[in-house]
Amino acid sequence: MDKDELYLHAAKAITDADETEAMEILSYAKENDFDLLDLLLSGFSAGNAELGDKFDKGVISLPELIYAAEVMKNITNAILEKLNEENKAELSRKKGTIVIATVAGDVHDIGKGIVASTLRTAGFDVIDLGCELSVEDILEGAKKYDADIIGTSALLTSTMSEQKKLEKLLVETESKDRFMTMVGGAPVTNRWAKKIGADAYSENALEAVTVALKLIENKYSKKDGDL
Amino acid sequence: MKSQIIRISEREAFPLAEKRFVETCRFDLNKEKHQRMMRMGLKVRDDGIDGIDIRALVSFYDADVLQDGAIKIGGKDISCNFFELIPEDRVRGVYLYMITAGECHFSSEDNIMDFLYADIWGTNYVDSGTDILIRRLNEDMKQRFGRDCSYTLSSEFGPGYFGMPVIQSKAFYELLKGEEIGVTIKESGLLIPQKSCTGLFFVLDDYELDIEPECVSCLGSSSGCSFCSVRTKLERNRL
Repeated sequence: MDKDELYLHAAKAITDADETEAMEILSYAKENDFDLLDLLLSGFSAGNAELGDKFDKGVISLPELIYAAEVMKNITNAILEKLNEENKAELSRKKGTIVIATVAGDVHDIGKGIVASTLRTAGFDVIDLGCELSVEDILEGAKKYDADIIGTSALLTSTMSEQKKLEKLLVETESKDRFMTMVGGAPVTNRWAKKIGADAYSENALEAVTVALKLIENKYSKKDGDL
Repeated sequence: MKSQIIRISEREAFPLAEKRFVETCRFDLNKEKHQRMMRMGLKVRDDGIDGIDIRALVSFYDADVLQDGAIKIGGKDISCNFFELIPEDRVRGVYLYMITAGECHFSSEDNIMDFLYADIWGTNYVDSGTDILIRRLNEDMKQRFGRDCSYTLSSEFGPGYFGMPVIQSKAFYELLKGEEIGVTIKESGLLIPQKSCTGLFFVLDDYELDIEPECVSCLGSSSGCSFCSVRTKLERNRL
C-alpha cells in the first residue's frame, strides 16, 4: 500500500468510526516506516475534518460525530505513545487552557460535556468545573488553572443572567484582560454575548473549537504586538 | 383540585422510546456503523434502566379558569402571549400536567458516548411518556364529555414553549404538587430530574389552533418577540 492509499484508508477508518481498522492501519504504518505524525495530521485528521463538514451540513447526527471523535481521540493517543520525544512534544503542546462550567441554577451538563470533549480532542487543556457554579467559583477556578478562556453554558432563560454576572465580576475584579470568555447554551445567541460583553459565542461544539482557536490566536498576536 | 398520579411502565414506553432513539440519532439500521452504534445505545439503556421511572401528575379544570388570556387557578396566573389567540368560547376545559422519566443512569461523564446516549434515552422516555399520557387524556376526555363529543386536545403549552417563561414552572409545580412524583424545583424554575416537563392542554370544541412554528419554539420575553409585535400591530389596525 502506498502513502496516498494508506492515508485514504486512515481517513475512512475515522469516517466509519472503525477503531479496529484504525489501529490496524497504525500497525501497518509503523511496520512499514511511515511518518506517524504525518499519518495522523494528514490521514486520520482528514477523516475527522470530513465528518466535521458533514455535521455542519446536517448530513450526520451528533452521536455519529462524537462516536468518531472518540475513535480519533484513541488513535491520537496510540500514535502519541509511538512518537519520538520531539514529535511527541509537538503533538502534546496544548493550544490553550479552558475552564468550562454550567452556571448557577442550571444543572444541564450534556452540552458542556460534549464541548469539553471536542475541545480536548482539538488539543486544548480543558478543566470541567462542573454544574451550578456561582460566578465567584468560576472565577476562582479560572485563576487556579491559569485559564486562557472561561466557557459558560446556560440552558435556561432564567439562568442566562449568570453569564452577565460573570462579565460584571471580571470587570469589577479587573480580570477581564486576563481571561477571555465564551458563552453557549440553547437560549444564548451572538447578540446576547455582545450585549453582556462576552468575547465570543458558539452555537455548537465544533464551532466552539474554531472560536476558541481564534480567541487564543488573537490573544497571542496581541501579546506579540505589545512587545 | 387533587392531582391524579399516573404511572407509565417502562415496558409500555420502550417501543416508542426506541423508535424516537433511532430517529434522534438518525440511524439507518441497514448500515453496519449505525447497527454498531445502536448496539452501544441499547447497552447504555440496559445498564441505566433502573433509573427510568415514568410518573405523571394530571389535574382537570373547567373552562372558566381561562380569563382574559390567562389561566387563573388558586391565586396563580399562567399565561403566555399565545393564549390571547385562543377563543375562550371554544375552550371546554384545561388539563395541567407534569411528567418525569427519572434518569437513565450512566457510567461516568468522562465516557461521553455513554453520557450522550443516556441523555437521549432520558429525553425519549419523557417524550414517549407524554405521548402515552396524551392517549390517556383523550380517553379521560371521552369519559368526561361523552364518547361522541367532537372535543380535541390542543398542542402542549408549557414553560419554555410558546413564549411562556421558564419560571412559570413554579406555578405548575405548586398547583400540581410536583413533589408527589419525586420532582423538585430550583429557584430558576428548573425541574429535577432533568428529564421532567410540565405544561397544559386545552380541551377545544371542534376548533383547531393556527400555530406558527416560531411560537412553538419561542423562549419568551416580557415584551414578546418581533412576530408577536407584528401580530399585535395587525390586530390593532383591524380594530
